[in-house]
Amino acid sequence: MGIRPTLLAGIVSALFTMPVWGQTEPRGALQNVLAAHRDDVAYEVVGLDCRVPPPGGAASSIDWARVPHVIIFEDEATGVTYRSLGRIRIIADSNGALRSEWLYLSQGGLEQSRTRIEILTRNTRVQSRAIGAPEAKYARFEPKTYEEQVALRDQRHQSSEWYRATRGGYLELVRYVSETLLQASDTVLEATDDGVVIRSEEWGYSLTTTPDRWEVQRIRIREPFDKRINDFRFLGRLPEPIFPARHPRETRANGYIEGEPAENPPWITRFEIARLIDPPPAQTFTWQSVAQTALDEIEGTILNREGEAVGVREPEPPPSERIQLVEEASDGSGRWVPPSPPNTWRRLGLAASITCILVGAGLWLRRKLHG
Amino acid sequence: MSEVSSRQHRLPAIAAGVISAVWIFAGTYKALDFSLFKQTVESHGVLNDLLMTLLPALPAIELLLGFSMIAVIGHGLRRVSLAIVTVSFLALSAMTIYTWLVPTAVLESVGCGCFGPGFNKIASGLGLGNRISALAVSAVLFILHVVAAQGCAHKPQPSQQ
Repeated sequence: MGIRPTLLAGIVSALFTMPVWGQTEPRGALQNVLAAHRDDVAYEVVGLDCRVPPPGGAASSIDWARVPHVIIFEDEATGVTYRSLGRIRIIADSNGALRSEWLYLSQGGLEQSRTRIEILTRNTRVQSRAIGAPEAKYARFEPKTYEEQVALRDQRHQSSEWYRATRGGYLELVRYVSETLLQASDTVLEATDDGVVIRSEEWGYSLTTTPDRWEVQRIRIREPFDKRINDFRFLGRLPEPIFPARHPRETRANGYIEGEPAENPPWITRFEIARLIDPPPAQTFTWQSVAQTALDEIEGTILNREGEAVGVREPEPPPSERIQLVEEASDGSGRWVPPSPPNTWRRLGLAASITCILVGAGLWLRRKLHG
Repeated sequence: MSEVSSRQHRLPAIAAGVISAVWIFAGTYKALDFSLFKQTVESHGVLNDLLMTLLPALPAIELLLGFSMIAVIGHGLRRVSLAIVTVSFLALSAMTIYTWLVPTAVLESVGCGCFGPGFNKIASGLGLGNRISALAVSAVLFILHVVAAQGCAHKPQPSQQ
């Protein structure tokens, strides 16, 4: 088995661009992290999205042990039982385009019908609820500079870069946080027993890494103007060096208020495959690869496969303008009340009555016709 | 002898009547609460988008099948009757295969959608899984189809004056 040329080129390139090992200055360390997490490689990552379905609701009535392909396991750290509800597959090219597929394992039927797709490039986003769906959502945007991201953060808005970081998997999150910390004015580095922690109070971001391979063990993100922390831990490593850092074997994501225990058990993603691939065809990252038409969310137009606008869609009214569906109270008081949920037995009786009438009418007609 | 031939003539008609009633009931229930039926089928995740667009036609097809059986079977139009029983049999087979494709846990959770949620409640009340009860209903209907088809093969008895 020979070393793949792209892998070799990545390692050599990273060795040349990496600053000196052991450097303790935060910017140097961040450059090391970025050099170990290059985004100019084409790669594929496959994993299982494991969660704890909330008590009650439809999920509680499902006999999970009988659902094919769903793996049930007890997490040693928390003692909680998890179920693999989805299979994640991320494909990325060397130009910043990535395609994320999420296959619902708890549903049956054709795989393409139960695979949710999101495609992100540097300036577009595509979302489709299935492969071959009648319509995908499509949006174009301009990449934001650091200053624009600061302005958005101060207005409590999220940038497209932040969105990409939270949806694109390990590599995208590490690169986004590293690049942000690199430009922040108050970034500091602390040496700990686990490695080094690089953080910025201004952003509320912190990144834990080790100076041997500069692989990232943990990222903590405090939401702006909030005490809520998004905590990502990256455990274990898959064998192949691909960025050239190795991809984590498991990601544990959790959200909690600073100083308080977490409300929910962590959301676990267990990765099985992380490998370099030949650059996928450009078509892989277009909305035409997943849907028949697309709704341009910015323009409000419907696009055909040639990208021509063939219709207009009125934007959805804001929640305040939506009409609450109500019905008049049956007691004659003239009050308007929310509609009552349908009564199963009443409908069953109604259907049975209509059936009897229709069968009776059919028999009568039959007698009339045939004598 | 005449009692035997009368029974031979009556049984297929009864079978066809039961099948008709089942088709009409299924079509009526789906038409009455089509949005619920659509949600159920969507949660099964078996049909692709093209087939989902054809879903509104299903209640009408079921009603048409039910009425066709009532109108024709047992009245001498043997080829037409046999054709209708065959179409009904194929439709039932398609629905049985469809139910088989739905994962058990999803089927137990939302039901098959054949006769609405009331059927699921009855099924769960009897302590039977939706999978088993759906298969049992299909099995009974398959047997009824065979009985109804036998009626198509026999010439109708001339009425005794």
